[in-house]
Amino acid sequence: MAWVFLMPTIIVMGVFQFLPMVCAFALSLWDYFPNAPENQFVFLDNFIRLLHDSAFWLSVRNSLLYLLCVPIIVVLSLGLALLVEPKIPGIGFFRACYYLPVVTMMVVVAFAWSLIFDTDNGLLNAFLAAAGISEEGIGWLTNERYALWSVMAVTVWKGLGYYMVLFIVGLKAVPMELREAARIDGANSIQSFFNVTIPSLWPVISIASIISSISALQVFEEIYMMTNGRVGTSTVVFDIYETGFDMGNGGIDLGYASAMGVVLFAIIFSFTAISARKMDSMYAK
Amino acid sequence: MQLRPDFDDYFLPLIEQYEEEHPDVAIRWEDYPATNYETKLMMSFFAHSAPDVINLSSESVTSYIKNGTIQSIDDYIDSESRAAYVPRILSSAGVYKDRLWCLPWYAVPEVMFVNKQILEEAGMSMEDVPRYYDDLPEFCRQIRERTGKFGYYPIYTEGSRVQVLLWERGVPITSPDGKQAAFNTPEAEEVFTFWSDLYFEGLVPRNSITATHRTPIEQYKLGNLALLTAGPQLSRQFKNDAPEVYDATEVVELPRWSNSEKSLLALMTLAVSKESHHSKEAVDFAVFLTNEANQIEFAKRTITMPSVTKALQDPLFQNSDDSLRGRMFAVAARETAKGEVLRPIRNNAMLNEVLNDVMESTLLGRVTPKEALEEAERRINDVLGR
Repeated sequence: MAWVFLMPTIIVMGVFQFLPMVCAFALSLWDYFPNAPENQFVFLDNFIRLLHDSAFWLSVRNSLLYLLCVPIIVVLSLGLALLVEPKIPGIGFFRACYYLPVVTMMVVVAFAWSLIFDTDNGLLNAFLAAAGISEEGIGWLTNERYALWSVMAVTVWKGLGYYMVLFIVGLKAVPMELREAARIDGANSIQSFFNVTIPSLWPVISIASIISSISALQVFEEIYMMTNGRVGTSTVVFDIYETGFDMGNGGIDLGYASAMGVVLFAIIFSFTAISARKMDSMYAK
Repeated sequence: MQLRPDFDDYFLPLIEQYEEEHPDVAIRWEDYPATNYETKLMMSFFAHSAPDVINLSSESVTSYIKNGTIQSIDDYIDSESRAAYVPRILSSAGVYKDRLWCLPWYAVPEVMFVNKQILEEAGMSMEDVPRYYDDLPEFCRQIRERTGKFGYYPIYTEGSRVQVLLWERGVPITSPDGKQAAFNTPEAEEVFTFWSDLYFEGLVPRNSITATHRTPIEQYKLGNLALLTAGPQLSRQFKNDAPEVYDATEVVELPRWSNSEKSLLALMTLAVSKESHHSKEAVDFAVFLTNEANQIEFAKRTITMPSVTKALQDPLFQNSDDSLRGRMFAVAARETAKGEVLRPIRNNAMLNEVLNDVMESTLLGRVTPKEALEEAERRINDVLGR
């Protein structure tokens, strides 16, 4: 009977998740074009080509750099959660405000931030000029030194609310007796936070870190909307899109794009496995 | 491509008319936005659900021939129908390796929209609008200094843009046999130097390095841009979205290189899927859509130019009145007369990718124009030589 209940999930996941994964592994060994009369089996050629593809390794570097969003998101969203967790009249309004970017479409968010970051007519540069900090205007999205960081800032800004909610739930679950016991034992609020609250929140921190890491490694929309992968901001997923699906700029090379996908899968899998193990061992302590 | 819902009132009655005349044919019209159009179309090929008649831009036709997704229509078109099209347009857009692959449809000659309000703010007149690229930097400088706005907004890294910039200067992209890059010339270096200097000197928006064709259109509609190079059909959008800008708009011919009078004719074509089970009917419908009467009617609504010889002789394109719409037709007709269709090139998408990459590197100051062209030549020859 259990199998009957499990079957819908197994079928949906099998068809839409596991089958495409297996197909992508297989495709990575082919020079593949659908509808072509003959496709060539190239074994590891696509992976060897990847080794010499400097643009791909720049994308890998950018994807890994994107992981820097994770600690920033975790710290800031925990801070926000601490601010809005107490029951104060009107606090719901602030929670809603911080959560609003989460439910706003990334296309809208990216467009709005592109206007703010515009080098010549953007709000941010206008503010810096008015404050006498920079008359020239900083190329937030047009200078290689800043572009990736600017897009990362948008990712962090948009994601904060989601993790804030996770932490609010986590904070609610911290036993009141523990906090009171710490206070009776003479712990001040900072000691109580680091010795009671944080250890109690550890499972939430682990989950938030893993989810945000996977999201960071799979980032695409912000890059596509704000820089179109230019100015040294291409990430692995963007590269996969350009290589596999962008007819106007590069054409369709599904085998090579699948090889990129396999490498990304390996990176995410290893990273998640290491993080989970590390978190588990820390939690066990 | 990007025709619904604006042109429903043109196409739906046409489809109804065709179905009445051909009772055994049923037509379903699918329309996608221009952005990612080709990606969506390619997915439909992969799923074996591609339409029988397909709207393709002329420059992308060879990719589909190479992929084996469209078929030659030689066997389904009679000589009379074939002779109706402007021979120059038919041969440059539709013929590849001596076979006809698609029918030319409507041409979109680019024109230059001028915001006279910004010229006035800068104390300038229509006489100051640059006719040649040589005059563009000074024009942009004066507009920027006097109004704080931009004179021009180039697109550097989207689609075939770099190919077009080179082509305007008369630079061939590949050798005649298509097996070697041919663009590494002093003229190409001049093109790269000119456009990158414009960028380095801050005479054009710095965001142009990542901009797509939508960005300058939006800036023009906001009244932030003095000159916009685009198809005349956009005037309809300006009238609806920014009537004040529309009222201040004049239209002139595109600026050119003083030593190369070339201008580009963007052309839409109709091709037939290789997997079509109704190839004959598909070609017949494509001929119907592109016939004289239907092209004239479509041109009237869109300010595009027909590709059928007789249609071009219609008074609409010969004696335009003095309204802005009339002047647009006049400029579009002049551009069409001297415009050329960008000839389909093998490995077009790969060429675009490489040329866009090296243009970006030049604008970022990573390489000089000469180094950029050398790198592009090496990368392209690597692929073409395989």
